[in-house]
Amino acid sequence: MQFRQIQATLHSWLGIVVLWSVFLIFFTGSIAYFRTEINLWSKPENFLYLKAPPSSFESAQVAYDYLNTHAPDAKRWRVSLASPRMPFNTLEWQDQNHKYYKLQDPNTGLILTEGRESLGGDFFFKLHYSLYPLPDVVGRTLVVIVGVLFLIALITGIFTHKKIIKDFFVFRSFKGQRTLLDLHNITGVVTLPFYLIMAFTGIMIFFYLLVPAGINKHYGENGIKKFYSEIQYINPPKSAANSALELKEFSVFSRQLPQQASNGAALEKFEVKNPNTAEALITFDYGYNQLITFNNPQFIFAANTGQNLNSERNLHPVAQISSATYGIHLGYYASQWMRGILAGLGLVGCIMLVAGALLWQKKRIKQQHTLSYNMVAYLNYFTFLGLPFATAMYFLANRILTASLEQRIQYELGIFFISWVGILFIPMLVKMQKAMVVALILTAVILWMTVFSPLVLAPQTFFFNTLRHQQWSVAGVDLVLMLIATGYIFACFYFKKIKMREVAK
Amino acid sequence: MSLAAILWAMVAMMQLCMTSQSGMKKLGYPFLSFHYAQALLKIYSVICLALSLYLNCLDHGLSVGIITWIFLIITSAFFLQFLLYYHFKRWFFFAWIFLFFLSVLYSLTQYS
Repeated sequence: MQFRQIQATLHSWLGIVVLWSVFLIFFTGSIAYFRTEINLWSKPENFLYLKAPPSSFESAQVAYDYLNTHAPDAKRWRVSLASPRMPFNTLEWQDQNHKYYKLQDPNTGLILTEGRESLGGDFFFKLHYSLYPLPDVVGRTLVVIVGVLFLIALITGIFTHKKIIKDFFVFRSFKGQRTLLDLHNITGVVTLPFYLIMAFTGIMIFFYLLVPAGINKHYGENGIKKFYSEIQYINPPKSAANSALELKEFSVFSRQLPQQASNGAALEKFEVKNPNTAEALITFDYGYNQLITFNNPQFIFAANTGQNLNSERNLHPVAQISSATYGIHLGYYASQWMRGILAGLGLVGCIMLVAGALLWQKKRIKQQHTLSYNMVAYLNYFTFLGLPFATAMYFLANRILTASLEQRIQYELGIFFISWVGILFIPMLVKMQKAMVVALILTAVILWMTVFSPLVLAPQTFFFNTLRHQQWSVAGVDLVLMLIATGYIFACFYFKKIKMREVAK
Repeated sequence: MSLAAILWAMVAMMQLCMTSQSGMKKLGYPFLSFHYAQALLKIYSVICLALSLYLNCLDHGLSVGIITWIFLIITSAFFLQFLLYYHFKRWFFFAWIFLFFLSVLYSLTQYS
């Protein structure tokens, strides 16, 4: 066997083994770029409070005062400040027994309690990296194994492609297998650096699951926290021993903070460790403008004295690379437009996978009555059409399940997984080609229903209202859902056109 | 993401497409058969790409500039060029000239 043949065999078999899982990871990862917007959209009861947020310092003052009054003895507070993207303060705190998560109106300080229970966009983020609701370690390990196999499939794909430069601009439409190969190549070649880097950084993030020996030897069992603390700071900040216990006024800190950091970013978050104790520390984090690492501008104070503490960030090249792997993969540097294109690239990756899978099937058309071929066909249907369908159902469930329903999150997840598995009944009842059209139409209809359901259920949260009040974060989600639904209808027509051409031939 | 960077990258991609085997066959521009025309256009494409990278780094800093150029600018330019090449082939030459002047004008007004 020649070198290229070996690569081609590896590419096609590794590809077919992991492509369904990779599709899930790409698809959910693309959605997760907008998880903040989806989180906001999934709680329509809060739309009434959507207003332009005040300055980040005013928002921080409101959150600080609230937590100091209502959670003075917590172990830790963590606050993400209101921004145009997420116009509410997100407050998280933890006491001896519970973790709390609340949204706060930064203009009035009001805690928003009416919002329905929903995982919103966080569900897709969790599904992306830990195959939620699988146990965390199991899910992460499976994802990282899939990542390694995908990386090998990508590299072997480069060697398999004979005319990678020559065929860079070639696409031959309506030519059966040739078209699928061109589509696979055109969506795979120019975006290859994106896939390679994303796969590599994804693996790097969970490297301790793949090769735990080094971490275990140096830091002991479960030493990952110690490792990350060391890789972040050379000297972790420590509060000086002081008899004062109470936290200082917020103005003591704000006077010492710049309005904008050196990279032009505004204040985004703050965290207080051990508030109202002698070890209280407050950390202010600015945004990630112009940074691919996690070394964003940061100011740390002893919270009971207001003394600015110097923390020394670890700037060793290894620490920088470790930090950059997170930064690049999570895309914190990206603006709204950039996130849109990054999500688009993820979806282009999905098209590459679909084209690859169909090509695999087309090449083995003579074995169409064998069990393996039919299994691949069903798995393709289940993944490529079932997952978007289940996602549409999840969004619809968010809108139609009553807000006061007990264990609402479980119902939403139940609907997602049942509809995903349930879609397999369609190809069992009708022919595969018809089943494909049915799935496309069903998904489009459900997406339209999701957008228009508030007309009946809660008219004030309907898309026209959010658009009229320039609530772009939530109106954007509805707009994208409508766009995708329209795209699905067009896909139906395109699919029909392909079939008619095949019949004509 | 810098608009000027996308425009320059698109100009470069269109030129590379014109000089590719597929582009030569489908577009068939006679001026490409002149001496050195293809080679010059390829060199000019590399210059456009370098300019695009420089402008993107100017807007976003070095690290984010390079990453977004590889991830976003090149891919967006390629797929936009692809759309013009397959759906508006008749207008491809005019689109190229228009985009070139737009890139020059936009870069001059934005960065001077």
